[in-house]
Amino acid sequence: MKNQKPLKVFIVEDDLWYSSMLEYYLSLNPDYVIKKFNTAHSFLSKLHEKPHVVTLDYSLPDMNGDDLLKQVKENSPDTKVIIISGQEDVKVALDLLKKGANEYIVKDEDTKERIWNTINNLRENIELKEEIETLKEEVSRKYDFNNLIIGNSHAIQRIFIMMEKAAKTNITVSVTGETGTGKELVAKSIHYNSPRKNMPFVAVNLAAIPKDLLESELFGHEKGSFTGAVSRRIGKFEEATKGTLFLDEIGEMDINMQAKLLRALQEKEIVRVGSNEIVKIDVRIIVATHRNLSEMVKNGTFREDLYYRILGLPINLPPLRERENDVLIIAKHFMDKFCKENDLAKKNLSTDAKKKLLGHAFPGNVRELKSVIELACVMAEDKEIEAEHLNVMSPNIINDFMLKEASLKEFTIKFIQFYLDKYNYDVLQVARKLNVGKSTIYRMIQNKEVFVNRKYSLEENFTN
Amino acid sequence: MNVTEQIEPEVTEKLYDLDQLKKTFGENTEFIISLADIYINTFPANSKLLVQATEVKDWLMVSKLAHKIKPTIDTMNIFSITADIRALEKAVKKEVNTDTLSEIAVKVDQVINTVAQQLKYEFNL
Repeated sequence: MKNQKPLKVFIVEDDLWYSSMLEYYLSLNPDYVIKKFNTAHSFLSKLHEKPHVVTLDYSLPDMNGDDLLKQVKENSPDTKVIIISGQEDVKVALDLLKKGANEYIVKDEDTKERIWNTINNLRENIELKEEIETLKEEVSRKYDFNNLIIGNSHAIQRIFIMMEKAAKTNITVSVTGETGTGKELVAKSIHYNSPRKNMPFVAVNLAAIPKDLLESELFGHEKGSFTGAVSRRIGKFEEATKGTLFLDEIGEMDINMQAKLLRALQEKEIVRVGSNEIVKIDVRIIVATHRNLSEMVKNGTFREDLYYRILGLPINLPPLRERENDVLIIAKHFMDKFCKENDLAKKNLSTDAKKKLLGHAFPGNVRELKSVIELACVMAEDKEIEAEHLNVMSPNIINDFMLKEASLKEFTIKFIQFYLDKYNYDVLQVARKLNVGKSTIYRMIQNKEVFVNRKYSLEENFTN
Repeated sequence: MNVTEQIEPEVTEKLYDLDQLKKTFGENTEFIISLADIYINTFPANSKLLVQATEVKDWLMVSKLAHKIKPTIDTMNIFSITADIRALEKAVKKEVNTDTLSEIAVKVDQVINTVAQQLKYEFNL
């Protein structure tokens, strides 16, 4: 059962008889903390205590209900106000409700029940609002640049600066980078650090929506505009009003649809499918793609005018293999997070595990690293994650090697080390498989270019 | 206070009933007594002000005081003056004939005082 916080209720009533009845009645709920005031001024002097709810007598001797309500709304806007009056005057009631009162209750034999129910309803609203605020804070913390950008590499520090610049303005942002580099996370982070943070962040993966449905998905449709349009529906542009619309995989968009998107971005207006009505839009656009859009422009699969419209502030996320030692910092972050979430003892990477991570090209980038680390946390029995726990074998080892630029000598070393690992450091077998002289391999071992006792060798040669 | 010292009210017919209060506050006699005490100590004074306001034809004040007293009269089921208090409440409105209001205020004052006496007697206050 939810543990409810005490609700501060102020009763402002100059009629001692009535305020005593209210106090007694509301005190029946032990979660209510009640204070009574018999004048507007005595109440206003305590308004800084920010009561959750105030029951306000409309006819106080020292101030009229209108003025008092105005002061409450100005100085404690979150306080809910219930006006209690002896008058059944609908006009007055409506006027007060328009001015921000949450309820207008006439003093009669049912007043107490109505106040009781009203406060209960208001309490639910207050709690929901508090929950939303807490969630918003959590989201804000989650997408704080410092929490999001994990790593010390120069490449990522540059991204950090670009994101800060993007968050401060309304400029369109184009995020590029290989799969798994965190394009959506960057988009969310820009949104939740921008002045639009309290408005919606709407993400659309353009590659996942069938070509024929994309227009309706983005711009909405009217009832009956096409088979299956059983009711009017607003599109993602309208859903993101005053917020941010994240168009992921924009490179996958059909060329005809590109023209419609261009028009929407240029004119800042859309037309729902099946409608003639123009709807003005106010959204910040962030696009992302793993494709090279300028190449697509050159070969005619992406409109040049749209390209320049969406380019805005380009943020090119570096692949993990170009982020120096960030792989270890991010691995530790994932390790700690996974262990905490799964009640596992905190784990560390052994030296050879670190070496293995640094040697891997991570074609799947951070997403791949996350899955490798989580599996390793599960597989490792002890506190230390060893190299053997890290399942970083690429399905195509040649591609994996090629992803990371290196000299021919470095490739050779990598290749021989890979075969040594694979054949349990059997030099003769590796020499046969690769058709190289065994003396070549022995010489490399002697020169500590490759290792046959990896744990020993790595501890000696790799200290980070 | 000793019961024998209580003066029996001149009007023996009970002008109020506490059914509504009992319905709301159950058998919490202590609290009902505290309300009766508030009534005795505040309402006769208010009704006296009401009479004075009608004498000087301060209809705004008459309305305000009547408005303040009305909910208690309703809660205590003082039926003999429920219509009168509403008439006084409308004193400030032009459509009301103010000639009879002084008379009505005197009646309200008398009933409120009688109820106060009856409460004193019932609860030994």
